[in-house]
Amino acid sequence: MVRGPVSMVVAGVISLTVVALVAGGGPQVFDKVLPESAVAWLDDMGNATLISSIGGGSSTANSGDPLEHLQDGSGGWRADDKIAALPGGGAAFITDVLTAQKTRLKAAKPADVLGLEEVAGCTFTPPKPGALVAHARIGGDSGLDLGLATYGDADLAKAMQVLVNVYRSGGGLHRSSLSELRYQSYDIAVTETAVPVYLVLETGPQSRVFNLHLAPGARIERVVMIGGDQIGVANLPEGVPVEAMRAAKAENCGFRPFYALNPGHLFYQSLAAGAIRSDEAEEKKRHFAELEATWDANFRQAFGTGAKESLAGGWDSGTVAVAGGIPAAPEGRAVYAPIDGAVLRVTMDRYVEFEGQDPEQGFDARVKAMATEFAWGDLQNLRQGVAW
Amino acid sequence: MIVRIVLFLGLSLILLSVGAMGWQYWQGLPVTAAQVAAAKAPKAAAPGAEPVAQKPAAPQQNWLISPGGSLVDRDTVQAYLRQDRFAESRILEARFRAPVAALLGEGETLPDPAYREVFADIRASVLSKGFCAELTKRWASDCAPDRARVVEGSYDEATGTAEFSASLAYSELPRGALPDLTTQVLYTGYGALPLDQAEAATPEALLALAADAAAKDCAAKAPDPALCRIRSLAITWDGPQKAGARWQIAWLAPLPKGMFPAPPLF
Repeated sequence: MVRGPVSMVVAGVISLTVVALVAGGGPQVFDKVLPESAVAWLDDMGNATLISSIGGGSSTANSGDPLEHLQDGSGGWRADDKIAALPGGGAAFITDVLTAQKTRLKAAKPADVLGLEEVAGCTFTPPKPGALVAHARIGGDSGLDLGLATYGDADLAKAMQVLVNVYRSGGGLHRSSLSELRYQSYDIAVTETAVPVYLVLETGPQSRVFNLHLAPGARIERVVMIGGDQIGVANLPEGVPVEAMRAAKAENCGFRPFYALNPGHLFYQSLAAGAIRSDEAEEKKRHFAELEATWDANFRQAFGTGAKESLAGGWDSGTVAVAGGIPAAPEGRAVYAPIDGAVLRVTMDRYVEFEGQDPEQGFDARVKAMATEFAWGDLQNLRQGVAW
Repeated sequence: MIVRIVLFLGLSLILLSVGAMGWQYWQGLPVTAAQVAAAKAPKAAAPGAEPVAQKPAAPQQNWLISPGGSLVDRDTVQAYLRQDRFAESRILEARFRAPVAALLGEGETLPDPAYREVFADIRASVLSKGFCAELTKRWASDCAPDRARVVEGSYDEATGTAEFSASLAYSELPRGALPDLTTQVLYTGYGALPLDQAEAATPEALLALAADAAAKDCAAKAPDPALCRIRSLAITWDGPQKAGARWQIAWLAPLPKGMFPAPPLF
């Protein structure tokens, strides 16, 4: 008598789970449902599996050409989570250059977060003779969101305007999110051990933290970071100097990174579809070539090597870039250094907030408190409209 | 057991549906004359209560004919005839620049510059009240701000001002009884105070000029000024030298000879 309904419930739960997985975009749907700690635990389980599979020093799971995992997208080259960028446009399987990797970092708790000032002028300390200039760039989304966010008055004002607009349109009390204000991590695997490495790390417009992982015996001479709204570095070896120039200042200083567009870029798609006139396209191509040459010359002047020839990555997505090459033996791979317990050195805005911080002191609470104060102490005063 | 639950739920749904249909039918029944009379009967005022100005009753006819013989559009008819209530098509639109400090209460100071635009947006309705005062002291029986906002990105740090856009609803004071509407046609006309010739020191002063000018326009164009109404007003003010106003008026006049009205079927 009882078995029938129980079977129906079990079947229903399984069906709903499958529907949720499909509709929610795969296993990531758990991110929205489970608490962060549970997701982190699941991730740790996954990482443990990965580490154990690599632990034997074998990467038998890797087969085929790593470049098969790179897609020619309309916004740029898009790498999946299997490959790392190598200098000169190449790629390697992550497991061949890095001992492990964590991809869910929102719950990671750094040991300390130190403020980093931008360079005072428009120049960087040049590399010493004999150093290897390793240059990496991530243009877009790495997907490695940290729980750490930073924001200032402009972000609070923007969120307050969203709250006001939603409230006035009858949408209730909007909950302001930190999602667009989080730092995003990008892993740098330093596998070069013969000479000191001078790292030049570039990012697109996001707030970025470069997480450094060093192979045994690797030495870093200096870290230079260019771009981003805010920018920083994690697991920097003690005593290594770091210089940062955010996107706004880089633009003013004439540091305008530009690289040739990929064949599948929207520009070439538009050209093929006839959406751009040929004379206009030629003009644009000339302009692109000019931007690329200018950036290459500026880069060479600052660091003694060309931007394009030294670049690893420059992709629109991806999670790892390599400073060096693929090590001959598994022991030569970079040792993964987690964000958990690391020291971060980052440029930051007025406020810094961690995921899971006391909500009464958080971003959303600040937005609501200020909006309420502006609205004479009651958000009901935001309502407008005449009864027609 | 399960069969009983299913039957119970089915019967409940049927009863709910039948109930909803019955309620809809009841609501759709025509209103009787007695009910109308009861609804229109004035309610006894509470002792000591302020006397309330009587708004003109809306005419029964809800259509009007243009001088060309066609039906006047519904919005214009509403704006002209329904002076007993606000109409979405009878509004004052104002776009003007004002100091954000004008929104501060007593003892308050301006927030940090980053917040001034959103502060101004939140409090924008304060600035609309002056407009209503200008209309009600002239020809409006009632006025209320409907929407007041800051124009996005308009805050100017150098002058401490922002550009605001506001819309206000109003109704006009009664100017006597309307004639038999079947014997009239509705004319519409436009007027304007050109940009940089208004020379008003404030947006409120500009509105005062525009409200007077629109009333004069009515008097000049309508054969019977009591049958002329101001359908809409719009002002833009970005300083005394960059100000302008425009309006639309509508008035009734007797049917031209040889024209006969044909009421709409629907």
